[in-house]
Amino acid sequence: MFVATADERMIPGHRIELEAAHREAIGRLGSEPGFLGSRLLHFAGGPYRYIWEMNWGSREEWESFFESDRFSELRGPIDAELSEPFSLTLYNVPVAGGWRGAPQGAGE
Amino acid sequence: MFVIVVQIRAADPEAQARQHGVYAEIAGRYPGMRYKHVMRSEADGDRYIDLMAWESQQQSEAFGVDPEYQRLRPPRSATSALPSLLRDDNPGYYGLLAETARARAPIVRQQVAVVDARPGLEGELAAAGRELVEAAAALGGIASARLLRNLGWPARHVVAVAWSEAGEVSGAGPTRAAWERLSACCTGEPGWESGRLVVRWDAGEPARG
Repeated sequence: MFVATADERMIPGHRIELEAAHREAIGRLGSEPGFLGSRLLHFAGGPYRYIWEMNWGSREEWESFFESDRFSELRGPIDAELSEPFSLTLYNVPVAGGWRGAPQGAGE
Repeated sequence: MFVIVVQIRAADPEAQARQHGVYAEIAGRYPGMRYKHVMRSEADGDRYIDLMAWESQQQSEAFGVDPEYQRLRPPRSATSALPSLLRDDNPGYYGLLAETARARAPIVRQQVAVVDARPGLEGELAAAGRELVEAAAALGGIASARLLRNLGWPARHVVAVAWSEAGEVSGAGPTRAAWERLSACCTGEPGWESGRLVVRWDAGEPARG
């Protein structure tokens, strides 16, 4: 499993539009090879910060998507709601498990 | 209770104060707003500390996307958040841990301390903060005392004390010991920032500049 996170800062007042853009993006990711699941995390200590987490089966599957035009198309509507373009951080998953309820593919 | 605490450096302090009075009027149309108190720092007249309390975060967020409010907001270059209080987010979301307040008491001055617990001492800091709030209730001249904990960074706390007359928490006997216990749990050297109230809005009352 491989995880990409986007660190995002919302334009003040654009919460509804930003969250709708992510719902649309996550729906489109469902057809991507290797895509396992995604969550949008909203910082609990203030209104403007979000982390968008995307889980992939492997680094290669993420990179295949990242290098495609589909990634640029996907991020366009999201960047429009941000005060600056999001920055990506990539993670390997050395330990996973403990999910209850809806898992994100961790531990597979 | 859900409290937004924001510390601002304003390019035009007078305009900033007027603007916050307008924000309070708009926010007051929404259910759940409890109070908005804006104070101007006594040490630095360009600095403001704004405390805005709601019954719930959801009610606050309903106001946060109000078109009229968003239209009136100044460009981000006109104000800048102070990282000492906010880290990289403006404003900060806080939950109420302890409170004492006299209803409709006049407020002329506020003291605010922003403190971070040393790792592992979060519980001790909160306990000392509760003691401080209880001790403040016994002081004459106190309108309110509140202990807040940041909802995103649980080590970060705010102590806010409103005075109806001249006074100093750190110098007052009943609160001094509690403050010293609290300080011993903190990173760095915690201190108070004092300010004069410039905007006050309380549920059921109009804003006062």
